[in-house]
Amino acid sequence: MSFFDALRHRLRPLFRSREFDREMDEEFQHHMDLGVQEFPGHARFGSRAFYKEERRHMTVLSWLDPLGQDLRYAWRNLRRTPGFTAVAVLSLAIGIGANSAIFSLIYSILLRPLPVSHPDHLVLVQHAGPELPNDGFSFNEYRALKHSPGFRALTARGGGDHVPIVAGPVHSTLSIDAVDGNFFPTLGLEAERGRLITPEDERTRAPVVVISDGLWAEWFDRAPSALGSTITMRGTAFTVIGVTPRAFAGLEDGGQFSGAIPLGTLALVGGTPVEDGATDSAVIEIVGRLSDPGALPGVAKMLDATYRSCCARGDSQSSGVQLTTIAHGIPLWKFDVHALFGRLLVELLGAAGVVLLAACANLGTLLLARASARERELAVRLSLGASRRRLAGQMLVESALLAGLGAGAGLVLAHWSLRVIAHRLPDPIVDRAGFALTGEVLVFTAAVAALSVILFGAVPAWRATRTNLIGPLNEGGRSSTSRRAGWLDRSIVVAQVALALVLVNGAGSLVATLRSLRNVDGGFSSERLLSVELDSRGTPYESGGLTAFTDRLVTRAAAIPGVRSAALSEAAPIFGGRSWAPTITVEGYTPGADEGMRCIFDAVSPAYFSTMGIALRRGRVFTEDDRGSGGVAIVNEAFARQYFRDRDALGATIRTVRGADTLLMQVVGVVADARYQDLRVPAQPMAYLPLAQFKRIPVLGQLVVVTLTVRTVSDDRALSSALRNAVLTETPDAQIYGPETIEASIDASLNRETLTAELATLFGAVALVLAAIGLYGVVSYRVAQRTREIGVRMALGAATPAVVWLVFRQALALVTIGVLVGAPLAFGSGKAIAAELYGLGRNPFFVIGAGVVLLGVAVAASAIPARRATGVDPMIALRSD
Amino acid sequence: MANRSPRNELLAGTMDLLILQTLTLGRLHGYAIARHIERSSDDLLRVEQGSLYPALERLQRKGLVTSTWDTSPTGRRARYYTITASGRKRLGQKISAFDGLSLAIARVLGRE
Repeated sequence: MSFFDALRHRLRPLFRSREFDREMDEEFQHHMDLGVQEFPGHARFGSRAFYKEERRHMTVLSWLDPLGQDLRYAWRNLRRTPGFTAVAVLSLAIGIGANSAIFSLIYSILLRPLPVSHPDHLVLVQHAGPELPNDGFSFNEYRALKHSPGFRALTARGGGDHVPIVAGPVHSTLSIDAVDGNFFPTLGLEAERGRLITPEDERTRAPVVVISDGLWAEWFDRAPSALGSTITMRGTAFTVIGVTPRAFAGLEDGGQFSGAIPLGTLALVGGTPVEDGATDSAVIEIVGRLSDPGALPGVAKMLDATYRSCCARGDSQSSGVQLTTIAHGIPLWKFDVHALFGRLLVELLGAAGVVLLAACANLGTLLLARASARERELAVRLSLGASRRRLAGQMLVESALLAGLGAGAGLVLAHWSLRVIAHRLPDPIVDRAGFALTGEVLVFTAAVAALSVILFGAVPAWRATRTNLIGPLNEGGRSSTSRRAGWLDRSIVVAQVALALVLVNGAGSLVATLRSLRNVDGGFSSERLLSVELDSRGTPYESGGLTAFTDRLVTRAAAIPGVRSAALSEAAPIFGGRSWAPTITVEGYTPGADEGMRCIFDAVSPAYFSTMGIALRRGRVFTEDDRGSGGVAIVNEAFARQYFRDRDALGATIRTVRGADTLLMQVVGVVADARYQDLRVPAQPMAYLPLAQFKRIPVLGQLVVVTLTVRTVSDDRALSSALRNAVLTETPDAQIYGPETIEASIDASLNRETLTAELATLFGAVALVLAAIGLYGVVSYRVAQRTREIGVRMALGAATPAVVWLVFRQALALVTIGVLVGAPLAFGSGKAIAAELYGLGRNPFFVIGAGVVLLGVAVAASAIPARRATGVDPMIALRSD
Repeated sequence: MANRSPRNELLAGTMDLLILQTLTLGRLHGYAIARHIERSSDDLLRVEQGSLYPALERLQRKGLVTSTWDTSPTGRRARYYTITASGRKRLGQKISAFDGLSLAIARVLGRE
């Protein structure tokens, strides 16, 4: 008790100094007044100021005081040289801000655990096998496993896709989770509003729904009245009972969570029924919370044994189970955030680190130059009795103040740039990540700032302790320390040049990658193509499919003025859509032992190949006559190469089976390869079917999704809305995505590369500017030092070009050494980022190019000092002695 | 820090003892403490503000004394000082240390 009293007493004047002063005055006055009352005439007066100062000294923590003095002194110093301070703070802000921004991305995309209690205790139960994640489990299997030992709880989740939803005025389709009653309790998730689904809801199969914070905002404008209201999902009214916390974005890493209903009500919204003892469809995901995460291997073994005895069916997919920890969420099959961004972000953090190093190096040289300029001041203070430790401490305080200012400005920069970056990233990532400057980011920033103080502040501080007393105090005497330290600032500049070379080389490679990706021949011509996707799922067209509309859609779209041709397909290159990848057998081809024989199929209308600009190599394209049940197919060249080699593909038969139905297709044509998924990846073997055969061939099933693509005569934007109107006229109730130009789709598919190239270019440019500043600083400092020498040379008849060369020679030497040091580093870093590069091969061009750029920078940085050198008047230079 | 002379140190030690002893009488404001010390020493000891209040400050820093603002009988606001439990403990130690010291000095001076 008395200890805390004492502490509070000590600290009070720090925080409430005015009140403290006032109280001291009052007490003093009180004392004096009482004294005057008692002894009128000879009251004793003490020195009020002395006593107050004495008392304040004792109160404030003693070491805080010199620190405060140093801070004030440093602040005055920095204010006296606003140019230096601005350059220093700005370069630090860029260095620190870049690190903070990238770290914030890394933290929110890669490191942040699921926002549930003890996420490291959560595991996903999966079928044994290398693929992740794989098929789900049936309800019977879940029941058999549910009470396995070693788990605090096991819970299950299913889901319904494309569920049509009506919530007041909102009509939409959504993917909805269906969860067992113990799902939320197992996660340890509490409702933000209302309550979450309970075992009681599951038992009674209550039509209740929990919605995400996002939906609550979007549909209900965060109105409290949302709770208790009903939303209709596929005709069944569900009561909204609660809202999940804003941070919760589902169990998937990079996934989107919109809402959850009890598992037993899944059939009501059109999902595969998950009923006790009903069909054995494998649609459930099982998630468990371990009692002890350390016991994972043993628990997994026991669960596997249980599964083998109850449920194993002998086929490869269900021979056993394994456990995967999902502290960061379940990786998505198609959109694995870690795989997509993990490496890239770490590489960008590396680049940001290099920028910070360059900024620190820059600041180091600036501070060194400053220290030389202050040598006299330091020497005077030393001779007056200041301790060397105190002087070094003061230099460090000044550096720390700079770093603090830089970090503050850097956070502002980071905040601003994160907003820009967020626009460029795919929506699921942004939704999940949020990109706030969280506590973790602030801690990281503070650590980076502290590190940079060590990096750039240590040298000047060390120099301050070694100040020579005699030299600087002699009038006109040149200090010996600055000559000795010459190697130091020059080697820092060399390092800066090397770092800039690394960054410029990296940026050049990434920009070239982006260019070569844009110039990749995708096998189709992308100009002036507009695509729009129609989805029947969750709409009135769901039962009948879209087949009935296809002919009229094409006719109407082709009739739009400005449309050259129109075509339909299930999927379109890069744009997307839906494709089908069954296992096939090819006449006359014997698959290898491990060969999957999966082939991607796209169903297309006759005009598809001409509209997309996919070249016909052999045979024919589809015609209006390919409508019957006689199967025909067109394959791409990759298919022909893979399965026919030197045989003739035309006339051969491809066979595929779905359930009881078999489809035989005769190859009637071979077309050029078109890259569907990704411009980086060469086209896979692929086959096309006539779209008109839907409904006539049982294997194909329904036409669920169709993409309408038109080639236009101009880039007129009005065509986009005309196309949209045409679609809305024909199929007013369909879910529509687009229209979007294929070029925009390509841009979107390259936004990761674009973002990387832009950031790298920015970093490279910053490093170049910093190197230029460093060079300029060193060269002009040298010129100033050699003024007398230059004067002598000119007096002895040296010509202007010789003097200019004297200056340039030094900068060029520094840059040359820097390039020689940096080139191996640049090659090494090129290897490190090889995964991000495309179509470059091993290419010394960028290192050479970056070297040339740096030489240019050296020339530019020397221009002003050179001019100054030629302007030296020999008379004046010599007289100054 | 510079104006700490040895003289102050010695005074400070004695002053602490006197203040703590005085505060065993009860809650007092600074002037009352000073007057009590002066009166009970028959005005042999004089207590200057310049040493009284820093001493009180020091004692508070050590947690031996606490203070609160209150209204004095004359109706003015005044700071009242109270001795804490650890202050009483320290007083005991200081008194026995002082007894030991004065005994030793007395012996050296041959007064015993």
